[in-house]
Amino acid sequence: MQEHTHVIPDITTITLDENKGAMFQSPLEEESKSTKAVDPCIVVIFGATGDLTARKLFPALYNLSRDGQLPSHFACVGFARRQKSHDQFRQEMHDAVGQFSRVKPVDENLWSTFTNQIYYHSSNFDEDQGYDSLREFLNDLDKQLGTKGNRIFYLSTQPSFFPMIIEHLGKHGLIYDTNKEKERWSRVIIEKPFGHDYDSGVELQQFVLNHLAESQIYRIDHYLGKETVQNLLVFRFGNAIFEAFWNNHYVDHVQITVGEEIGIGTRGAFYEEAGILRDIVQNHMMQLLCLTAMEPPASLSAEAIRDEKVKVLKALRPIDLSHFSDYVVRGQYAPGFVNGESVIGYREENNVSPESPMETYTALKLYVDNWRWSGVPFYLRAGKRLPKRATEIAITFKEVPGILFSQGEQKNEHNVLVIRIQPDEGISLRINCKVPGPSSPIQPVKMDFRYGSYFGLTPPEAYERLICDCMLGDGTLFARGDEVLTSWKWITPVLDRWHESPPSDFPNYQSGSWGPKAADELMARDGRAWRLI
Amino acid sequence: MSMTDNQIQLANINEELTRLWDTEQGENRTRASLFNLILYVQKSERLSCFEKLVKSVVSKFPCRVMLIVSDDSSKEEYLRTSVSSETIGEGDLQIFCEIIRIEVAGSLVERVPFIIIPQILPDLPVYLLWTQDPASENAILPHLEPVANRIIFDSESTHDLQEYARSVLSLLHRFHCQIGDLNWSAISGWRQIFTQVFDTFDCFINLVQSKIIRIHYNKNPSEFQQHTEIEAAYLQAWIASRLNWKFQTIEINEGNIRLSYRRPTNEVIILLIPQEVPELNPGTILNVEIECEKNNAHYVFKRHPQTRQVFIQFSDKDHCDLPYCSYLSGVAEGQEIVEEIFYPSTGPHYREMLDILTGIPWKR
Repeated sequence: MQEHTHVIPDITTITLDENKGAMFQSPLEEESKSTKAVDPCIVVIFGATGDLTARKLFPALYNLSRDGQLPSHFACVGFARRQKSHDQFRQEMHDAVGQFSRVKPVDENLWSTFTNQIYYHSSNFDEDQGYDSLREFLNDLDKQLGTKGNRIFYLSTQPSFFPMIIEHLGKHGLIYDTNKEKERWSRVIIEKPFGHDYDSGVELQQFVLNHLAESQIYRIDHYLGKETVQNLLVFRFGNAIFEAFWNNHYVDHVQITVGEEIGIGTRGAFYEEAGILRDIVQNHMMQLLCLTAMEPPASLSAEAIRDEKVKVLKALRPIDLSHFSDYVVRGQYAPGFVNGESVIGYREENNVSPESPMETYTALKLYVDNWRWSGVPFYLRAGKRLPKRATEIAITFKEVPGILFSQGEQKNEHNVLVIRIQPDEGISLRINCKVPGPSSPIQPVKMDFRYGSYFGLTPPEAYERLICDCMLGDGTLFARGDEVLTSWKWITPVLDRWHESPPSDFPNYQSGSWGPKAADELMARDGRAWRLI
Repeated sequence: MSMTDNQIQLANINEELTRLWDTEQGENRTRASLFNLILYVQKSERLSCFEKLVKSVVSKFPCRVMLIVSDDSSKEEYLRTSVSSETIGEGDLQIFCEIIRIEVAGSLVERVPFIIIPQILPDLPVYLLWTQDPASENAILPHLEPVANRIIFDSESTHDLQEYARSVLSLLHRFHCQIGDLNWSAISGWRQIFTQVFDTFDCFINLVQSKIIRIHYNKNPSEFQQHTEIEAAYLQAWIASRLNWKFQTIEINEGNIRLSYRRPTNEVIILLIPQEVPELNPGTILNVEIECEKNNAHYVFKRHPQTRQVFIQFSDKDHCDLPYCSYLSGVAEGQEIVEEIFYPSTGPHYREMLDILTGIPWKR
């Protein structure tokens, strides 16, 4: 047994005057336990009547409260244009939690207390008076609830409102100057997309930094809150065996897939502006790519991890525009069948132009030009209305020399390590195995680890973890400004090229299929194929 | 869930397990284990409760269970082995788990480790739930300790908490594996609430200058739990250890336990007060009240009888805050074994709490 060296501080020598304002490390706090106390605070949600608030944010806050992870002194204020009372808003959020929480039904005993921490404030986002009255309301809540002036402003609105809200928050004294304020803090969570291309990203970044310090900005990418995504670091750097093979000596190629069986649903207007490259690839898939390809960070601090991710993005080889179609494919779904049900095509969706050129599928081949990954292609594909919902990272290893166990034309299968992000989170490894019997046919078999089977407990939703981390002031699972901009820098030439040459063959894949033929051809040219998931 | 029992010859455990699997295997059934769970229990009223506990663990986490039932009071010597299975789930995904049961009495107990060790599934963690006073057993524990990844003790099994604390502390120094404790796990929610409430210097200094702390706990004993004051005893010892208080005296009067501690400038009294709340598990901490010297500060922590909510109210000579609510985090009551299996084991706080308990003559 290791000797422990924990020393209890001599609190008898501490006097009140000496320590007022000093950083206080409570002797009750236990190292290595997740009992780090969360500061009292108020979360203000802008866009409180929107879908995200109902589907994700309130269920997350409710579950944090269920699990005892909210601070004891806490309140949540919904901010939106529509007029409604606190009680109306509370009832709406109760219904939303009942419908969307990962734990059902709502525990009414818990809710009866939680509901008293929910408030509503109505104002237009551009109305000065609305922010003045918000400030006063929050100050009153501080006095009533002991929330100590700490604030999280969650911007769950359309991106076009971000600058306006941030400007007003600064103007009305709701954002604290980090150089002057040590006793209380204010943080802003910004939903994606952060800009719509490189130039707009830079512009937004400059604007935001006029009002906030980088340490106050939490750019949310909910993929980073997923347990399996976080486990990528543990898997790679907490196991001795994998890192040795995690390079161009052993890896043939990497496939990252984000597939969804659903269409764009009610997001027609958004999709007509964004498309899947902006919606999925620029943020979620780039984060998965970074975590897969990055070097070991010097520590687990937010900055060390983000530094390594930025290095990966900076090492991305720019798309060769002269051979564009060898690297990039786009697609749009036509009518078809998903789960046996007939579904409409993209151009028939609400708020979508009948001649829309917007992509709902993309496949990319890219290279990370650094020592570790030189020559290893990374294939990324993301699509709507694919046969199933599946997000995974598949590392395909090189073949063994086919001297011993190949039979005629038949070669051994590659070893494939698959990290399943959703659904059915887990990790599997395909290996070759001898079929029992006198002859020696080789058959691939799968070793499978499933989170759900092993740990049994329902993992927390990504938003729970991310909101909790923001309360703790831990930015590790949020994207830093330079990460977002470097990603835009790589993506923007693709967007520009698409903009210059509208597609002539849209729609080009049937709903319920695995995407356009051109995507299969992109792989076939390299002698490879997409994994059948 | 299905269950079958077969009394078997000692040498035939593997064959019997294979035969059981051959009989029960089906198209959608997988034979699987995530870990080895060894459970040592004395034949007593508590046995049936531990059998239920095994079922509840297996129903969530497929594992190979090795249940040792020892009967120290038997005049007869015996060593009986049986195997059975549990099948979890229905339909497409059914998982078949194995349970090996060993019943033993008399000197044959010495053979038990040599039956258990070959049955441990390799490359999987070994969790040993030891429900007996660790001080009183020498035949099995020393043999199983080297193969265990974690030993989880149950202080409920002891008749002398002081002796228990001494034994576990000594084992902590000797053993190489991690140590867990079901009752320490059970108070993790309360520890977290205290950490949150006293997280600033001003609040913490109130706690430092406590005059009286009253901890109410659920008496209401059951077959499973007779020593209902243990969680309360742990909580007070944890507070005392964190604040460097020195134990002075203990008095037990009409069920109330009065402990006095010395802090640098004064004395602190801690009262453990039994109460009966049938809705909650025996031993559960119900309320905590703290009276402080500074400004007559007063804290009340009151647990809701149906939920894991705790209502907290603070007042002093100048203020009376509105009550607010916090939640006991961690697993639900009765599931402490799950917490102990999957989450970080005891650390310095546990050791320092035991240090305090070793100084209290708590013989029941």
